[in-house]
Amino acid sequence: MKRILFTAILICIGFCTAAKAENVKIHAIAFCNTDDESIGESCLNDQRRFVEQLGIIEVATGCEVDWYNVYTGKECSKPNLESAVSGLRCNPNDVIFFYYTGHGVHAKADPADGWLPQMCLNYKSYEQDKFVPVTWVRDKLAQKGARLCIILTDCCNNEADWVSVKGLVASDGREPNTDDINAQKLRKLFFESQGTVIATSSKRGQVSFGPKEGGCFSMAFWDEIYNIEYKNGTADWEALMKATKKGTLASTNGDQEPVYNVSLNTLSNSNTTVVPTPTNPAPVVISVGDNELSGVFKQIVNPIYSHTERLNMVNGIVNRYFENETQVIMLGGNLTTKVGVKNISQYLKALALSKTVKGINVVHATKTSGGKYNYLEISEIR
Amino acid sequence: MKTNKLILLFLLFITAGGIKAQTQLMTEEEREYIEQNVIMKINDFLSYLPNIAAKSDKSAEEKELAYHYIDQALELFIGKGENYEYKDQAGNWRWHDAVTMQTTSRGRANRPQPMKRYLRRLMALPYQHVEVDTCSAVRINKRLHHLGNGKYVGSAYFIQAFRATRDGKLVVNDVDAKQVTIYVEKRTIDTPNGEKDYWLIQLGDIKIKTDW
Repeated sequence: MKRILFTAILICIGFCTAAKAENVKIHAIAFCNTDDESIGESCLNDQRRFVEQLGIIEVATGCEVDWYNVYTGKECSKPNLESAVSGLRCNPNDVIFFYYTGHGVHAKADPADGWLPQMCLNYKSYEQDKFVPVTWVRDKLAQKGARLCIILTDCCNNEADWVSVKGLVASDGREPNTDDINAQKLRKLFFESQGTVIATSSKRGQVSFGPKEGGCFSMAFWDEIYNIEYKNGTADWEALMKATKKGTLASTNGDQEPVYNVSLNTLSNSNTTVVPTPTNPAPVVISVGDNELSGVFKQIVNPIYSHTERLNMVNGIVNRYFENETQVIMLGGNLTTKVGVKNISQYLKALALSKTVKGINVVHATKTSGGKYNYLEISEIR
Repeated sequence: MKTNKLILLFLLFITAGGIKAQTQLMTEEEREYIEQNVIMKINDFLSYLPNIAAKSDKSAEEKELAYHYIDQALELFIGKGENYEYKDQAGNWRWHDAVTMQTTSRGRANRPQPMKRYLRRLMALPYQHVEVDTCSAVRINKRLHHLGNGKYVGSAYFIQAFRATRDGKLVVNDVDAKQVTIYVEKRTIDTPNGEKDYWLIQLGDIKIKTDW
């Protein structure tokens, strides 16, 4: 009886602590220096592989990946890195996956800098004040409250005396296919681990190799993920990083030795925190003439404004001319068949983004005693 | 067989809401303009894809815009990219999986994936420029099939050419025929000018069509 009770308790604990896929979001933060003359192509392939492979993990495990913070080319910059890291909001079950591929360097003068390099992002050596230490990212992300934080940097770690110490305040062509994947092992890796995994592609003093196919370290990492997904790889972060290190050493004839630290705890139950919804930009109030309704629609489909500018007009237009619950009935080309209904805000937003609507025929409109429109029948000119 | 499945699926489909279903039949004239609207919706969907996919180094503003396009694309589909409720033949409410998108890679059909996931991932892929051909070849398959209670189901076909470039080189050039399920339902809405009947037109799963 005691054994049965004990087993039941263990099962209950298992149910309580394992994160359910639908509750887990993986926040991808990727910075890829794809514009660099020497390693840009390699970084581009690293980016492609990152998106493809994380996409496979997303599909196989049924979780959601937030791709908002993937930065390449000229956007691979310090302000974007700071805002991506600072602005990140996580729930306690979430996973943060930070990935950097580009140039890196180690400040020779800094004994406290440990084994982690500084990321050069898209800056040249004369802009070294904009390099960002990986330790800054590590410390910031550790405060986000995510269940698991993975930080991988594929960049050189050679020492340079021209780099100052920074304060910490401030694809291989493999087809994506999830049919035969071992999703259970992926779930173990991503949903049943809590803590931090941090790794960089080479130890202090070493360079990292990035042939055009992608960084040796990144390729070794994704190869081992592939082994876990499809073969007999062990779904364990320590084993994964050990295999990545071995793979990197093998592909570089021992010249590049990755360094990593896996610090994982047992899962615990946590309360959910609410992720704040991003606020929209301030509305732009537009001015219109006497023929106000026609003027409103002309403005919202006018190609001289960008889609963002048109989108920013929507709230101002709605507040000024329409009741909030105004319905827009869309008519077919015969001006009688009703082919859809939308709320005025939804409809104006669709118009602002449309590339095919050239104009609007207002067939019928009514106003309230307050002078605002509360009903529209329109047909679109395409 | 496939048609039977579609009919069965739509028999089970009624979305939640307090709007009454009607039993009126679609006139020939209505059918013509509803089919035109379906083509517009497919055109709209395809026109959103380049903004979502290109370019890989989007600024924060471009990313916000891409998310708006994703939302707008999802508005075209039944359930808006989420699981949706329907009433089965026994009158019980049940959940249906979110609509899916099937693509090809180098001529091979991939497994269908949820539309929302497809669109979000498209945003992160490393393309600099994306072109999606307009769907001039869209056609409605035969006729919309009447299922009773003001509900119709059908399918449309279109050729989609998805071309993506990187460094001036063509890296993706997938041309495939796609079939999209169409759901049409007559509904009534209360307006300040009295009750109005209208047709709710929504897109469903998009699949690769090999026997185009």
